[in-house]
Amino acid sequence: MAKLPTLAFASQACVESVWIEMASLLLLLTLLSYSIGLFYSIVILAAKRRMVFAIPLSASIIGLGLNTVWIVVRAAQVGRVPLLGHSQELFSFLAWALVLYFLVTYFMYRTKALAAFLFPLVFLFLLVAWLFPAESRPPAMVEGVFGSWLFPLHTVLILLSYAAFFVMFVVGVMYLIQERELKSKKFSFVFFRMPSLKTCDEIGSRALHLGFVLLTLGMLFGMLLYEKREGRFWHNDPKEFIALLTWALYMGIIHNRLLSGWRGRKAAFFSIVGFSLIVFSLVGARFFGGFHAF
Amino acid sequence: MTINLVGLSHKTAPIEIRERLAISSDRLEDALTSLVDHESVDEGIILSTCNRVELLTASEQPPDRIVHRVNGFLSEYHQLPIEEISPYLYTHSHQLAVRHVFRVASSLDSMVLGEAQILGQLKDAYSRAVEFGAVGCVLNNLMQRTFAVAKRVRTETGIGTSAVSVSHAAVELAQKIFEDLEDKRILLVGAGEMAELALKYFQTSGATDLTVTSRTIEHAQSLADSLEARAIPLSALDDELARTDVVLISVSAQSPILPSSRVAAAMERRKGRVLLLVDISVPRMLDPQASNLENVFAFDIDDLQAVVEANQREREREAAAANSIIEKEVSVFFMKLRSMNQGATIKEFRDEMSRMAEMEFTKRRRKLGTLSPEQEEVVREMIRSITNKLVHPVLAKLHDNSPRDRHTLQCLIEDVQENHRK
Repeated sequence: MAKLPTLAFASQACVESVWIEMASLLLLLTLLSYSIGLFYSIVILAAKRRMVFAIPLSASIIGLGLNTVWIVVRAAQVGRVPLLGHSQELFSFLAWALVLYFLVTYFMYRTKALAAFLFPLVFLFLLVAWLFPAESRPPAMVEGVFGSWLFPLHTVLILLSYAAFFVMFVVGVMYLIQERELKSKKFSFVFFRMPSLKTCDEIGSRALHLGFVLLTLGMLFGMLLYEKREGRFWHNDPKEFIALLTWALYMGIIHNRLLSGWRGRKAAFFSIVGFSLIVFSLVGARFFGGFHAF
Repeated sequence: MTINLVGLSHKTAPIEIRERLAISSDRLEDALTSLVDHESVDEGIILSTCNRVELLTASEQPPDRIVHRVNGFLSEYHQLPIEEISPYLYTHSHQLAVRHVFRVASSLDSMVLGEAQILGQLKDAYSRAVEFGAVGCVLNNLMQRTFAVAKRVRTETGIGTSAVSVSHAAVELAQKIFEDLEDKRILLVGAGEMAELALKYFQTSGATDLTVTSRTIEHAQSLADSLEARAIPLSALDDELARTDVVLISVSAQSPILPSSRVAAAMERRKGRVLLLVDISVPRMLDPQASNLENVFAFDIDDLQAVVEANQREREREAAAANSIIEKEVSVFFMKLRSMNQGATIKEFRDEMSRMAEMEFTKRRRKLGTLSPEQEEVVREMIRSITNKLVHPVLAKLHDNSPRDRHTLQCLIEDVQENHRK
């Protein structure tokens, strides 16, 4: 009887290594699909010849499928929602959400050019995920929160809101490029392959509203989670401050859009500020330490 | 069968000649029936537009005779001496004729490269010729292929995509900003011809909410009535500026009617909604400074002209790609035509042989006396089989594509037929 635990442990270790190898292969294949998507969407945007969109489209669909399988495999491997503590989990989920958002937008608006602007981000996120493999143990500070159903809600909602804000940022950039060409009256042929200003503005404003709702809910669930554990909503964590700042910024954009008709240029400009804040909070907060040290 | 083309276009003939040689659509039936006499010319199509007159024919006779015949037809039809018109005419035969038709249909030979109208005109000319029974198997095949080639050129190259007129460029910019014009408000300032043209272009591009204003309300009203638009007095311009999405300006006045401050005031009321101002008047009626205002996009006639010129250069580049598509299609078409001819020759030859064997049998049938039905069937089967075996090596020879062999065989068949008739 005494041998049983060791046996179980050995077989578990074996299973675990299979999981890890499988996950790493999946991630590599996902990265490959996204690189194909990135390469072809840029070629199609920049090439003189008009080309069919089938390659980047299928690459992003296949990539999304592989990415999804990776998330499921990872969840099975660690036995929890795979959204914590590791750059790998976090960035691969962000890439997943961005590709999903792109595909939904593509089927709504047929915006091929969006791929060429979004895929660099997708590729970068997945590259980070691939370069920094997950540790097997989550950071000690956040242990104990996994059991709560609030935890996955908190992280998933916030990351989805980030993806929406990234889309807003990207269409904001597309808007500004086109606006500059319209004002200077010099048009590159890329100009005619981009969606109209109205479409950019519409995709951006939808992303803004969706992102804002998700962020608000995500932050609320985070506070509830903390309140449940320690009886406090807030504990002066640097990431919390940045999140609050981000929230206030997007609130401000929505407010101004509604009241004084902030559209196009200004909204596009502030979406870039918002994007920088989010990137700062994703990457920078690591250096401040604290509760959200990831 | 040879395909020949005689024609003239804006590239070879000035307007005075083109209008004299045009064949009006109500006289097309006469023209086609006298052109396609079914003796020298078997099939014919006449295309007559303001930029070209082209006579496409299919005939059994050699090209020079047909060209002579078609020239004669033109001179007779228009009652002009042949020397007077022949310097303006070009003639193409065989591959060159087919290539020319493909090029015309794909709008590579048009005055405005890539314009879509010519294909419709050609389709029209074709269906009229079909209607009057002037089209047979060869031109039918050629025209079907031509329409397919034109479509291919249009979808695979960018020859027809960009705007090459000022009005079209304005619409294109509006679509680039507003996506679709259906729910957009378009205001026209001025009631001149140029203004009317531009507004009509917006209308055909889907805009329905149109407003016209002009210094004299009567002018505005009469233009508005003809375009199903509404007319407003010029004094209501400021209110309309606050509401509208696109403003087309085409008036002449002493000083600009839209100074930057006026546009700025309108933008204030619009709460930043995007405004497109297109000024096609000379001198300019819109302050160029307006372009610096946020969410205002302003273009004058030179800006639009620059867009048009850039697009024209783009079309010329695309024309090179279109040409290579056409070269491929011409050789594909001739390969098909050849195998079609070959198929006809094979069938003709086999039928002829069977018919001859059958006749010989019938002639000598009586000498065989009474045969049981089975026996008679065996004899017939034997004749069929011998004929097939004799014909087979000849047909196998036909399948290799050497034109000389085919020609020899065709002569052989004709000889056989000739002998048989004697």
